[in-house]
Amino acid sequence: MYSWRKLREKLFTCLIIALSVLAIAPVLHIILTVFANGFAVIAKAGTSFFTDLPPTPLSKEVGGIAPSIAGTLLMTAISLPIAVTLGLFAAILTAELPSNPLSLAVDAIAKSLASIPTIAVSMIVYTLVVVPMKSFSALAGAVALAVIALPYTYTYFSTALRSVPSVYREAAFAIAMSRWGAVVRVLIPVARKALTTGVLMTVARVMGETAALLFTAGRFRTGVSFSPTAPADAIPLLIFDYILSPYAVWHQVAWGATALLLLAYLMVFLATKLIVKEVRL
Amino acid sequence: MVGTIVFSKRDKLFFLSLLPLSISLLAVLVVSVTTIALHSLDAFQHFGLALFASSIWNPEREVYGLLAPVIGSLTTSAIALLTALILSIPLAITIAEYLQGALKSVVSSIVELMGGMPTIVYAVWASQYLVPFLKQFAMEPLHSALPFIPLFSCKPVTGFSVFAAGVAIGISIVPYVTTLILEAYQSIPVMYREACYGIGATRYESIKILLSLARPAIIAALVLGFARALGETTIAVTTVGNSMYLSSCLFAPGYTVSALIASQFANAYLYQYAETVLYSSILVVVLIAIALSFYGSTTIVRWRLRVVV
Amino acid sequence: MRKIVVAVALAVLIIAITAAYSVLQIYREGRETTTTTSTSIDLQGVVLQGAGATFVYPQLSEWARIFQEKYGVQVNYQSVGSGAGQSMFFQKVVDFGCSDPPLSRDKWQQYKGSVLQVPWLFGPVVVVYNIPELPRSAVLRLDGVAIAKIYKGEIMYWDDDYIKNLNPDVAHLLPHKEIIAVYRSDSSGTTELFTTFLYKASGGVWPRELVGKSISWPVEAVGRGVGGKGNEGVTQSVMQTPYSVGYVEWSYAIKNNLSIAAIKNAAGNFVLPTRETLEEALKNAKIPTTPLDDFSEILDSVIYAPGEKSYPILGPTHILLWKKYDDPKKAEALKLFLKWVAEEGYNHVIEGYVAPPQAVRELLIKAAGEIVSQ
Repeated sequence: MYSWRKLREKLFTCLIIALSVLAIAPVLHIILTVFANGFAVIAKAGTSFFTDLPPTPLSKEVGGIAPSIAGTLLMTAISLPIAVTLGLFAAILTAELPSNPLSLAVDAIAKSLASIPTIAVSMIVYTLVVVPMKSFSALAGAVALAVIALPYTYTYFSTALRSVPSVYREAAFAIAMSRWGAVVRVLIPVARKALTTGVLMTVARVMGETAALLFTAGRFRTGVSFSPTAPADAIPLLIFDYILSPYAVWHQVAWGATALLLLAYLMVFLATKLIVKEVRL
Repeated sequence: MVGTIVFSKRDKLFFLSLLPLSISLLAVLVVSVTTIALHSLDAFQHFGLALFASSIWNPEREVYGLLAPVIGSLTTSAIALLTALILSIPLAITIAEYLQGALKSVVSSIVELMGGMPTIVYAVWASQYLVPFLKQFAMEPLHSALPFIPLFSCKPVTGFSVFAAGVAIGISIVPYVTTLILEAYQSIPVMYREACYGIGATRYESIKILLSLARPAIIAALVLGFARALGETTIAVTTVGNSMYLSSCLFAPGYTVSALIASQFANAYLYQYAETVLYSSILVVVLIAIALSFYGSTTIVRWRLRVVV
Repeated sequence: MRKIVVAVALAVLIIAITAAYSVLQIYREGRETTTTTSTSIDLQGVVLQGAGATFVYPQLSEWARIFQEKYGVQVNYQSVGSGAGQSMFFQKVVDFGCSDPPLSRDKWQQYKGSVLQVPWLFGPVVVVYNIPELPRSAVLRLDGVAIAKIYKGEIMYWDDDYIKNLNPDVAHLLPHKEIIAVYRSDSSGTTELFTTFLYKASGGVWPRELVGKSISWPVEAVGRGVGGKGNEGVTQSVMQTPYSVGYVEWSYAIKNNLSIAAIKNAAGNFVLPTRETLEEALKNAKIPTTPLDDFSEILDSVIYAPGEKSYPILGPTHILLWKKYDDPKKAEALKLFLKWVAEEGYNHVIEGYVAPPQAVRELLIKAAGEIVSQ
């Protein structure tokens, strides 16, 4: 009946909005807590927060997190291309050839990779990379991060490519494009917003990953190193060590580092959104 | 329809060119699982399947039972999935349908930003704010109102429990699930929406129809979310209560496999079987996840074969 | 057009930041070399990697900073836990390890002659409590029997007669509330120290089976136990749960302003952890004479030690070193570090730690002498 449908419509809208607010509330609370605690610290430390070494437990100044920033940048720069490339090719396979048994296997396996406890990933990479190299390294950390990132890149990319209506693929074949041509010149451009969002979410995940670096990166905090084969530190690792200690100055550094991380995401996300425009289908 | 499709040479070349990197992805999992399996051989040889019949952790006496952590992992992940489902789908719909312009960008950026929160910060926030909140507003009311249901039958002492861990992990996977569903939803061609409005459907009814078109994305997001929840370490460790005590009540402290490893691996080397037992628990969890993941993928494929967008 | 501008601007920004960064680092390193002493110019830039117990990390970072300023040698440490530290040390992924427990007798036998150990730091475990009715000035007194019974679930309320007898001054303030016992849910040396004390001091109440780094707590089965992850987990649980009791490393109690209980020692006195009471306890430690020796008995001699003013619950952390290192520079740097710690480092002990007796300083110097590089 007419009025019953209207009532359902109103109820639905209320329920949806209420649940969304419930979903966003914890997010906002955390972000506000982080910024409230973190900005005070960064403001007090100034630009030396980016260039100095971390403080000792009894020092009065907050020091800086330079080694961690360098390490995070380095490890993200190494692991992201690996994860993106592997994820992209696997996604193309499953989007283009869905009934192939290999596609099924890749699809299931890529997602189940995420079920390995993140600390176990670091244990495995420790056995496979750190022990033969006889040293912790940014490379080992990057490998662990790439393994963590794979399920995300794959799932985001495959959802993005599959969401492209098959009309576009058929149109590409109709003008005698090769299969690769159809993928590169039609599919990917049409799905580019979703693909970019996938890359961004993976960047965020990788830069915030803690447990995977516990036994791989090396927590190198006494100097700044850009070498992939030397031990490195990462911002989440620093936060992990410092926030679980009893010292106030270390807590401050941890909050400042978190705020910095979130700020970095904001800048990268906004910039990317300005560049990549949505495609209306 | 999968009838008799003849593949041309071009198609075969296409497939072959995708093969190496896809196999590399498979190789990553095979290598990981093999390493885990090799390290767990000792445990299975020595203890056999009795390892999963009880819940004890006593490395000093080399007595181990992994029932509580394995069940705890599955339970927390199920609760996490439920939480994520209840929170993400409405959030995705709200962003897609009810918000416009600047507000839409801001809200979706906040959601994406949340995905980048270092899990340790999240874990600290959860243990300091979320758990007391849940204890006061969810667990105690449920316990006093419905104590006859075995799930709610115990009194929450500190709030650290399987339930708290499940909700905390669920909230942490909301950004990923939401973004995935959102992207898929926004990629549905406009003509479907136009068709819905064209036959006079209300907003609610057209959302229902559009959601069903986005179903493979929802399933994919849920499978990923479940796998992620199984693997989540730092949040589990700070909220689950870390107790080997197995009970049917959701409000009692429990354990997950990843929390067990995080708590016990540091000193496992000092005992004879501790390390290999930990590896065997990982193996069980990963194998269960692979099985469920296969189930999810076949569902998606079957959907794809019936509905062509 | 606008897209290209934004993209180019972003790329330029990223390159500029990275370039400025690298330049700044090179400039900083250049500046640092001028402030080192002349005896060790050839040790510039050597990095010593260590891993092991979390207990040592804050003290070591303090030492590392002072040492680096003086000699230019970097000492980097990862707190991964004693067991992981031992494992990494034996796999030669790090140069030295730090382990709360010394090498077990079997392990020591296995590596006899090639591994050095020195118990270079000691730290107490304190018992903390949260009883809102007691004023800050009052100090709760507990003994081994009381704590053992609490953690076994046998003493259930704060106003139990046994506790009242130990605390005649505040007995009337003790409430009739259930005691929530907080313990470590993860494997830790702190638990080992605590349970060893309970076993030694409770006269049979606490059994031998319940001594270890990770045990099943009887109070958990009764429903009045809470497991906290790490010292910070226990600290937080005690702070957030009224009528609770727990055990943590000293620094956590100090930094979080927790109420610390006075414990009855072997001589019958109730002592609080202070520098004097800890040094008193260490006087009786049975420390072997050479770093190549077996240290597995040291824990027993330090906990519940005799002495009028000894604090009964404390334990060592050991540094593990190889006798032979392939890299001569690393060997030199290590020797220098050990000597520096023995001579100067102990003047910079931070809150929560106590400097070991003279015997240990001599051990460190002996260890420095034992290390060779070829």
